[in-house]
Amino acid sequence: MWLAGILERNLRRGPDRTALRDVRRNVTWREFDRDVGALAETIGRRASAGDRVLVLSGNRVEVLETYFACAAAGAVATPLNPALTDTEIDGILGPVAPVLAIADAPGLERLARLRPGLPLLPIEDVAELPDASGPPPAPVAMDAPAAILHTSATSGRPKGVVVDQRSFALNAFSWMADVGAGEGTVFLNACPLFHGSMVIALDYLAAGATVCVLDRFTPQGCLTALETWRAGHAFLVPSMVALLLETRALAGTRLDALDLLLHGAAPMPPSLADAAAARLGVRLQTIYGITEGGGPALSLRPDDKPAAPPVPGATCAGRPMLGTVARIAGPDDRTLGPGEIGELRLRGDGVMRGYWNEPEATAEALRGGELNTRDLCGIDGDGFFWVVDRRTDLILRGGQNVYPAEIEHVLREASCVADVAVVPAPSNRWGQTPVAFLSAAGPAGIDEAELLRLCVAHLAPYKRPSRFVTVEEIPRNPAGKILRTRLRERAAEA
Amino acid sequence: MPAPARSVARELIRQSLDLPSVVDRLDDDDDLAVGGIDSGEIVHIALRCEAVLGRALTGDELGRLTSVGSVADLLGEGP
Repeated sequence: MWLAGILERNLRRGPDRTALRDVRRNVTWREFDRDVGALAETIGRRASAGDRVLVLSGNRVEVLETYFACAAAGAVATPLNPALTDTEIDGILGPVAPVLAIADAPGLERLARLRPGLPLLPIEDVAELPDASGPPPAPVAMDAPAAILHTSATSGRPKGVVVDQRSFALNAFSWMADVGAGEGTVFLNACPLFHGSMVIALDYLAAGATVCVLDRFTPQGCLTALETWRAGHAFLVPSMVALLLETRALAGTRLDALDLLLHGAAPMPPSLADAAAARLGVRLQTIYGITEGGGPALSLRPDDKPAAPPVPGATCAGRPMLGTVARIAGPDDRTLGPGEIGELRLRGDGVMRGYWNEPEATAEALRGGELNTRDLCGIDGDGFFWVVDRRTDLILRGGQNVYPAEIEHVLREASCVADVAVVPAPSNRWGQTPVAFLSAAGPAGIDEAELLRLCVAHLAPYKRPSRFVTVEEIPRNPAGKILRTRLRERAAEA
Repeated sequence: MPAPARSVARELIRQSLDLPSVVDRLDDDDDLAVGGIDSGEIVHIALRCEAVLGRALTGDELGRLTSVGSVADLLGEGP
């Protein structure tokens, strides 16, 4: 209902204004509405309310159209990262049980191989589908599942985060209040549209803005898009910002339209923020978000001036955005005050409905409707939240979440490995990278070639460890739990 | 492409990877992405090529950086 309302409102206000743009197409609101109607009717022939529709595609405007069409048809859009290996995709297909897949050419080829018989629709054909001929679909309830966004997970296999249109709506209102998007704003979407940050593109569409979709991030391509499409707002992760500053193309690029650079998904080093503000001539705004929270939750605006960190090395994530209630909770669930460190909890309509078919994991993450982010944070006297450490076992590589369990699960399959533990190590390039500590199963030691073969076959490349370190044994406490802090210190020293 | 150019390309790629030995698994014509090299690492390969050539790469050149051989070809073309 929310997404349908966005289309209807903008169709009336400016049908010939540009809604979406990529290197292939400019899409007006009138064309956007037509494509969504046609695609929703096609989806409706295959999918009933609540059925899952898989989306496996690189970035293009039709991915956003697919979100709108699934919502109109009452289906649940389930986008997947094309960088996942066949093993990883196969592991998701089972629990999700899609009735239809909408994919680009490489995605279609993979799905035809992995799931013969699954109905497939080329995403390239969306603009060519015949106009909808039947009556418009009945409005879908705001709390009906709208999308399942997969995240890396502590369990070693991805979890599906279920979000509804109520979450999209809350995010859009909070974005407009905090960031100030509106008609006339041009937003460059450089992040992958299967990722939780895709809600930001929906926020801009809700505001009547133009969303420009970058097929894939390269610093040269991003600069060209910013210049050519005269984007005023962009959302990037810090490693992308660093690459923009590094490319030679920056010297010859006019970025006079770019005003606001939003960044998130990983801490922005202060020196990088200063360099970006100076060399790109932009204002910077920090966004703290989590997929389970429905996306953006905290924001540090360009004119915010937080005091010194309450703990050395902590990163200021800002204050709660409109509609989000945040608090710091101690081990006994008591709300902590300034100067105390605890877990960040979030409450509001943006929070997920739960994990797909994972009631126990959902109950653990959501208690009484409150999301436990498991990020260690503090709050200062001015109400700014400071991130002291992300979830203890989370690795944030270039803005992408990787949980050690996923990597450990794969490396344990190696015949040369007796035991394994993966921890994050600091990286100037990516923020963090995974490092694997391994004990050998026999006197021949660790065979790195075997480990690499397994990683390439079963892990998306961004999850591959940056180092394999052989140890006598993996340190564990008397209860058998891996002493990850000790390994993290060792990984940081190397 | 002469062997020295390929070895220069391999070294440039090694320096761009989190785990340099990944490139040792690849033949000169193997696709870098299929061989396990992350898209972010390919961006770093492009930046290193820019540094070697002393100029920005064109969109066409960026799109051609798909294998050890193609990196060697690009470097062989010179600035």
